[in-house]
Amino acid sequence: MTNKNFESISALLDDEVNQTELEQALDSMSDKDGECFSRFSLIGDVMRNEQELVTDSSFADGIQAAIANIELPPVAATETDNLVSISSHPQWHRRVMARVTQFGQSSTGKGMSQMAIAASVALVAVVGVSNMAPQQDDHMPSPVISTVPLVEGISPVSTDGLKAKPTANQVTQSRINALIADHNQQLRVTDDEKSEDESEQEQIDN
Amino acid sequence: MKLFSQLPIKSNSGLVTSFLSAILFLSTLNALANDVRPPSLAEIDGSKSLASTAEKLNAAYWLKKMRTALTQTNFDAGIVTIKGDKTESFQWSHGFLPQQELELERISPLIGGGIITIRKGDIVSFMEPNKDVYSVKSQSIRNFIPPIFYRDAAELVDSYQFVLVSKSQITGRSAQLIRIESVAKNTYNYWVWIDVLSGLPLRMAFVNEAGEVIEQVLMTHLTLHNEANKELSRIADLELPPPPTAALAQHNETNNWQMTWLPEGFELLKSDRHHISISREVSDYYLYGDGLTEVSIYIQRPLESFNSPIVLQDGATSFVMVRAEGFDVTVVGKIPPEVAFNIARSVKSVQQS
Repeated sequence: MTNKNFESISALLDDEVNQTELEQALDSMSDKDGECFSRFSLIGDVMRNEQELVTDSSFADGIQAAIANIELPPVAATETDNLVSISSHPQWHRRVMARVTQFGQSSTGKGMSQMAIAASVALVAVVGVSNMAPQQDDHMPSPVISTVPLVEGISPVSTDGLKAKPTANQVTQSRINALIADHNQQLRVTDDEKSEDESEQEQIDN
Repeated sequence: MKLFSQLPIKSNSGLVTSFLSAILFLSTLNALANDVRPPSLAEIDGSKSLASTAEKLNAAYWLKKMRTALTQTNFDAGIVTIKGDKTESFQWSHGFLPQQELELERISPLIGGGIITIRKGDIVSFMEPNKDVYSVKSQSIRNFIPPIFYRDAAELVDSYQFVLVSKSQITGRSAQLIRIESVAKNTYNYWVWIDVLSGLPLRMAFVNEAGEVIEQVLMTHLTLHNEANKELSRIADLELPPPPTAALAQHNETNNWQMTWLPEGFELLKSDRHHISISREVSDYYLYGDGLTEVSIYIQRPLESFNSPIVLQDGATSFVMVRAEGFDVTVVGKIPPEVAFNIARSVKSVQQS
């Protein structure tokens, strides 16, 4: 671990090396420098907000292990699990805090806090999206057909010269629902056999 | 390590200025002539009258740029589809591995429980809850992007006009609007807003004759990356179930029916006879498409319970069911309802010899 190498790695990542320095730096790189390189680039990414920090439990466990001995409230000698014993202790406040922070640093705690954040983001997204004002006011007459809940949102439209007299018949309704569902399914699974031939044709023409 | 967003600005600064000056030039032209119609794609190739920078303004350039962006950039985007009052949200990720020349794509509904679609190269796999994973062979995921944008848009030239309109801002990004307008008015118009920097479609909409948006797709956020993100790269290693091979899944063209009228530009994509899964009825089925939109035609045994035409609309999708002599015809697709009605009425039985 030489300082010189650090400098050249950092310069490399900031795009400030010229050709000869670059060659020198790359030649004199060792494995340890590889780790250093990855750390520096991670730092750069985080600073520029290009990296999502993924914290996995091994990181948290490492921290946990490292501070397990340091984190030592005076009453840590007898760690008991249930709240009753904790609260009955004269310094229960501190022990509860210790318990909470310990939980927060454990893998389940971290997972739960991430879930909580994700859930609140999802909630905001859902609320925000569903509140979006519709682009156009559809004044569709309310359907005479009682729609079977399979497919929602279909409303009849009367067009000029056509009598859109929907029969309130379950069989017709179920056929309508079935055909719409099938249509969507068919669109989804349409394969490209035809267009492949066409694109090959184009390549030949080009 | 350069920032991705720096790259386009550095290399395109000269282009941007000439671009802007050409816009000014063309917009003054527009102000003078009322009905200036920009040359169609087919005319561009032969015409020498446009300056080379102005040529870059034409729709072909933008559509080609979008095609490249859709197939070769790495991005994550949030998508919302809006049909009247109904909205659906999706998460859309795309990556490109240059060494293997492999495209990776994933579309999943934001609110769980729906179908997750994954694409690896030209195999698309669908993961539905409570069903086995199945695949088809396809160049693109046909969820909210018309397949023509992954192919050569010149295929649309016969039935659509391309109109360039001034730029607007969408989600804070500058976007070029291209109006793909139906010539014969038998299909809806399609407007697409293409991001100036990345070439990705920021907003797409079906628009009717009156200029009203009837169904649209909106990108709510966009993140561009230098390379495919980790989650997508894992798809490259996934063993996807193989799509049915041509030998197994013959497109059995049922020759019993003839469509005596179809809008311009529609070609037969698929035809077979199959059971409609929910109602268990058998149907002769035809699927026609013109690249932007598709139309399904179902021909079934007559149902006693209905005898007048049924016309329904859901966003851009029209549903028309019509009784003909001895059979029922149903037409479903993103076309105006009158057109769907005309198609349905034109289906005739082929005389069996």
